[in-house]
Amino acid sequence: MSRVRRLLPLLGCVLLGCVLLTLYAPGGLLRRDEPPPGPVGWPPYDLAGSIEAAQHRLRRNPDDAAVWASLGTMYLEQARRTSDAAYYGKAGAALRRSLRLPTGDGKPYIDAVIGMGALANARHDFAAAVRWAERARREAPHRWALYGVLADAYLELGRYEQAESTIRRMLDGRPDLASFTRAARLEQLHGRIGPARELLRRACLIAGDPAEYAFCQWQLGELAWNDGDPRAARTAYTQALAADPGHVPSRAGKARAEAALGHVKQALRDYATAVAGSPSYVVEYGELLQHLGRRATARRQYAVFTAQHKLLAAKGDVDHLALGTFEADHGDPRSAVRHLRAEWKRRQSVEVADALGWALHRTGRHAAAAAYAARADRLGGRNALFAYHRGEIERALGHREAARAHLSRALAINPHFSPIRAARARKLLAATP
Amino acid sequence: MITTLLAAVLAAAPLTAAVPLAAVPLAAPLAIPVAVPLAVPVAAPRAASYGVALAGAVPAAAHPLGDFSVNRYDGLTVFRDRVELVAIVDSAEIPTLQHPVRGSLDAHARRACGALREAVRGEAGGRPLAWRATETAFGYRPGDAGLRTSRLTCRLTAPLRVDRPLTLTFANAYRDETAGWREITAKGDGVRIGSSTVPAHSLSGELRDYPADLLSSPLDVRSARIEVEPGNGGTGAATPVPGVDVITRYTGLLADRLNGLIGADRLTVPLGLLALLLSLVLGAVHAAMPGHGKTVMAAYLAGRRRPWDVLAVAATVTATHTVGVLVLGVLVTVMTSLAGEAVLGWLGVVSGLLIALIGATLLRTALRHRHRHHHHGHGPHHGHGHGHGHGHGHDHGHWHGHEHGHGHGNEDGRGQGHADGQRRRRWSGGVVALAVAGGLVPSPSALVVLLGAMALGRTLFGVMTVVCYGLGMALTLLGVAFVLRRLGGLALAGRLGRLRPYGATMTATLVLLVGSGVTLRAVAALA
Repeated sequence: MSRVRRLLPLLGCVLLGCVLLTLYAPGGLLRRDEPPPGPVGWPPYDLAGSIEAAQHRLRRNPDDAAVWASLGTMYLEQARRTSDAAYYGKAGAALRRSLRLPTGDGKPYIDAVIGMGALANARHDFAAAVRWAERARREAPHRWALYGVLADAYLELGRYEQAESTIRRMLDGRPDLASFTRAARLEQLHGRIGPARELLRRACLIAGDPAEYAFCQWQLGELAWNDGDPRAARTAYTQALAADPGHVPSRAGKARAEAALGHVKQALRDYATAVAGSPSYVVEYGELLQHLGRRATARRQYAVFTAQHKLLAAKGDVDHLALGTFEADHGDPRSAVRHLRAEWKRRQSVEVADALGWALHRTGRHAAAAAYAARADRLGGRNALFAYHRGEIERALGHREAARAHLSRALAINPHFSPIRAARARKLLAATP
Repeated sequence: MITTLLAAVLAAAPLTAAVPLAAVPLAAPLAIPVAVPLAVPVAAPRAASYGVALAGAVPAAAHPLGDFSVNRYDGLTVFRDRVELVAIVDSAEIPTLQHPVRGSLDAHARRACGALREAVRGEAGGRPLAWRATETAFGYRPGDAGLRTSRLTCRLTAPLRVDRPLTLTFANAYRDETAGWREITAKGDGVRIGSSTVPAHSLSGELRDYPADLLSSPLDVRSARIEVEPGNGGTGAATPVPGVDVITRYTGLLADRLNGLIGADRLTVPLGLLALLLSLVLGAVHAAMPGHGKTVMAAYLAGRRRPWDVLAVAATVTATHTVGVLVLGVLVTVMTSLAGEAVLGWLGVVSGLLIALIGATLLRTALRHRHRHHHHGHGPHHGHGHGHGHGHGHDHGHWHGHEHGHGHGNEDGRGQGHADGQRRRRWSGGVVALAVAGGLVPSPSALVVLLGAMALGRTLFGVMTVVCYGLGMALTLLGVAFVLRRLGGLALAGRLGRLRPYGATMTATLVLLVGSGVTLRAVAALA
């Protein structure tokens, strides 16, 4: 008995020693060195680190609906940043897991509902996104993230009035990066370039981390590019890449701008980097190669596009808009019409109207094509491609004056809008006095 | 309400405090991720709107990173005279299509491995390694949607002489612009890997079987830093022991196996028992390794007569070790900033100092008792032994308590001569202190096992494993003690019997020496 009693102080001393060592030993808690000052600028929002922390927490407590929802949303963000679709599956699984878990009031965790809406948008299921966002609005009308989901879905569905009122509500409630970038998008669709640029500038000022800043600069670059200013566009893209060197859309944008400025070698290098990061830009790349006369290399890019959509189809996802647009130019226009009619049934946005009009024109149905092309221009947006398509359709219909007007408008908006098409527009203009 | 509280508690845990997520569930993360993403896939009107961003549903298990990933594995093996690299590049369907093969597959493999060699950077002790390709292979495998994936294997080697501790750095930038799984492993063959930023075994089975768990992210390890040292040469104050590196290697393998068992998807009863058995074996081997003061104790135990003391020592070692590992495990889990290695090092110093202190005390007592051989201060010493550490006062009280607790010892103790009784009394407390010192330094492998189990939510099982580990250590000590006791009995019966009066002094000196040795070694390891 007394042996045990004598042991206690000793063990106590040992334990105390352990604790003291933990606190004071080099590498211990109280002697921790200050972290080296990082590059000045953004607070480090470490997405990978946050994901790891959430995973770690869920491993210990797998029934936390809030953390599952947050993890799902972060996977979605990861998908966006890496342009890697594999994360969509993970995001969906995490969000659904959160939805299944009971919360205090018996309703699913609201961020998971919003996250499902965002996921539906990312997968181009815009109708479902509206349903999720509406459900979230019924339960938590002051959760601003849901209006972002809703606005994006409306914009893609072609329900522009509803999009506008949603975005207005966002701007009134919380003027932040999310609302500024969406408002800029809407202004651009209406052809109001100045206000759009101003909104994006403000968004860039309040960007929270390098990835957000890259996103804003990329949008500024797209705006400048579509406005026919490749130099300003290249500057913006370069800034975006300085903040986030892996930002693939900016890399592709820079390639486009370099090509317009006559730096073909640099353009090809940038395109090669971009399509290695994400195959989304292979068709653009292929068209530049085709324009340069490198047909075999161009065909290989088109083959990559076809393969990618085969893979998507094998998983049950068909992107009718992208497929239809591609088929109309580089494949079978009849199949393009099929794809785009299917898409038109689901949504009536200006992009789909333009693509469908162009596909119809390629199959020889010019009158129907003209109607869709006019709908594509209904918002008054300054889009060189749309104008070029309209010019070609009017020309096929024999409307010389209208054709001339649209073709020169296309070149006035952006003389470099596409290497192949701009060249053809110039040729047509020169041929028709 | 509950979630709010939980969030607050979680946010308070330092583990996550550094991450904005900490405040998570309620505000932070949504603001950022949802802010931007949605406009992207469909995006602003582009020159030609070919954006193929609709990327897809759940990918087939083949590649964790989708159809356009380029996945890399680099397996380093360090030998005494060279370092070998097995570099594998597993390209998904799209990159395979983007990089068509010109000419024969073999020629393509050679060209690709040449490019890979250019992208690989290795340095040993600050000098760049000169890589040479020894074997190249390239082949297709069937992928999704009638397409195919490809697999490139390059074996590279670079000369290297590991005749002193070296720092090896490695980085691979081959096709870095593409997303993908990136993994590096490092192991030694004939050399010891001191510390390494990468594991010894591949998590993906060398890119054959990617973990597709919802709670794991694809690996993205692009560089490694490895400390290697010659396998059979000691460093610093350590005494060279032949064969140690073989033992280290095999126990390392055992520990890996144990970790694998604990991390198994489903823990069945036979698997669990196997894991416990393994930890017992690991503990036994750990106790047999030099430099932990345990051998001292065994020598010391040789002087003991009653089996009960031996059992007490075993129990103390097990208990101290278990408690130590548990405390350290909890601390390491709760505080990310805590460097487990540093704490282990300092515990080593404490352990050594404790042994040396005991040795010194014993020596003092032994010398004093040799002078006052016939005094038998039973009464006066009795009371004041209590509050003290493990000095001479301690001994008497200890002895007494022990005797009372276990009747059988009584006649045994009393039946012997004064000298014998005194000697035993002197040592009783020291034995326990030594046991504490022996168990104080938690074995790293036990700690790793515990942490692994805790991460998987199998904390109780982890604790059981650690207890088994301690028991294993105790078993070895008991075994050694038993053997030494038998030997000691023989020796004492023979000519060495003459030395008997000096036995106490000699043992005390030995304990002191070993204690100093352990301390020096631990300090050297710290520096």
